[in-house]
Amino acid sequence: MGPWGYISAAYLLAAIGLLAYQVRVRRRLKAARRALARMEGGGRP
Amino acid sequence: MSAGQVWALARKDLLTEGRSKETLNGLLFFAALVLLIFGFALGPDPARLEQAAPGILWVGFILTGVLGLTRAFQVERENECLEGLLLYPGDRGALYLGKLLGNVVLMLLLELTVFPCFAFFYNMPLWGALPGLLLTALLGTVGFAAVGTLFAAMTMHLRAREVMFPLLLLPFVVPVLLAAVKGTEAFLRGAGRAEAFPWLTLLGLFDLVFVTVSLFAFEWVVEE
Amino acid sequence: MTSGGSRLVIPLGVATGAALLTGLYTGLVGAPADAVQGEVQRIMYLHVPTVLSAYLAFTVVFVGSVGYLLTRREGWDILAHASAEIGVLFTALTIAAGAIWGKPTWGAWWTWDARITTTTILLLIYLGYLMLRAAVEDRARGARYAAVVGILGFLDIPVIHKSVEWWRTLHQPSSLARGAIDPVFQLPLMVNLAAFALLYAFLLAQRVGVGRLEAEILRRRLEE
Repeated sequence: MGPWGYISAAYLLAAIGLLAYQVRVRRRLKAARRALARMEGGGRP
Repeated sequence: MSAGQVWALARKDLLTEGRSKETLNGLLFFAALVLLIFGFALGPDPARLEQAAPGILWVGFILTGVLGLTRAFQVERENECLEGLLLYPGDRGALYLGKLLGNVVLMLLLELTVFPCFAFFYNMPLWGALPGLLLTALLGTVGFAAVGTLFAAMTMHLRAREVMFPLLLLPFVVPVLLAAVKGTEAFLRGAGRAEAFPWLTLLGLFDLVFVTVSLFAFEWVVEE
Repeated sequence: MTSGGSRLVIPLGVATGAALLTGLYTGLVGAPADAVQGEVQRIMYLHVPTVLSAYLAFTVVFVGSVGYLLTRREGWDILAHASAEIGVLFTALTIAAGAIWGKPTWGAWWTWDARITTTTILLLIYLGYLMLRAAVEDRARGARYAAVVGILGFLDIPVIHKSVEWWRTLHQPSSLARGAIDPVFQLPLMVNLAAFALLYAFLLAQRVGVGRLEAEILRRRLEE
């Protein structure tokens, strides 16, 4: 495997890892917002 | 905090252990077992075993130490001693040092008994090297127990304590392991004080730093 | 009340994206190939920024941990937790990129090089940090314990590094000469460093936002 194979592997791995984390954070943010909205909506006036 | 307090606490732990010899015997058996198992895993070539021996010895000490510390705090937990002790307006530092002293003495007793097994299984010429080996064992044990006592107190209430304790502890004691093995190796080889000295110094520094830091950190771990 | 979004997030995101693209270009296209290592050296434009960002992250964990223990304000704890997550991620990427670079360069995925070994131990310490948080049920206690680990871990970094370095050099001298970096490589390196620092800040801002929301949810649930 030539050098660019290794380079791509490294950069791709990093990109996947970072994207996966970004997606995870986004999902948790949305879930938290939903939960909070439910608390405010269904709870006290 | 007074030396008297520290000694009283250590004495309590040691007496409790002394009365129930089962724990000490069990740990001893375990340590010998570890030595034997490594023999099976890496043997039977005596040359290879001789090379690996110092490392095997210290892995044995560390694995046994993890068990011993977990056990020590489990007894505390079962009898709620720690909570009781914390009710006293005493210095938390004394509590830590007392526990540390007790743990170090117990581990050293264990190690002293393991050394002959080690010499037996691995054909190690211990006699000439004994003072150096004991010094290394002392310094290494203090370093290991310094962080170990802190983390054992931290994890004792967790359901996953058997996993969390070694998981937290082992990365921290890597420097101790490295230096202790190298020091032991130097003494066993008969290379003398000159070669072992840098490792002993490293161990000493580590002990100083981590006993001090753990002493302060203990305060935050046991507060309620 | 809070939407969990900080006004910093969007501008940070834009800046990060621009910087990363610039960094990718200068690193992969703009910069010349290394005279000795060839093209593979370009992985350094990824590896070095990730490790430095990881150390930045762990420094922030240290600061957050100290802040929490001194003030007991939740905000510090949220900051520490968020930074630890991102730090662990960056550290894992560092090790992976380093290994991928190491294979064609040295012929091995792993060497017991002082820096990579220290970084790996660090990964284990902060993974332990994250697991500890998950294992403790009481929030305040978990924050306190984690803060202790966060502080101890950070203080342990120089200790680990020094001991592994001695352990290595007494066995085999380091083959990597620490010369000054040729100016032509400096610019792409700087650009990428800045890009990854921005990326860290971008992820941190978002993760802290999530942490704040989740803390709010917990607080409301407890009130009911």
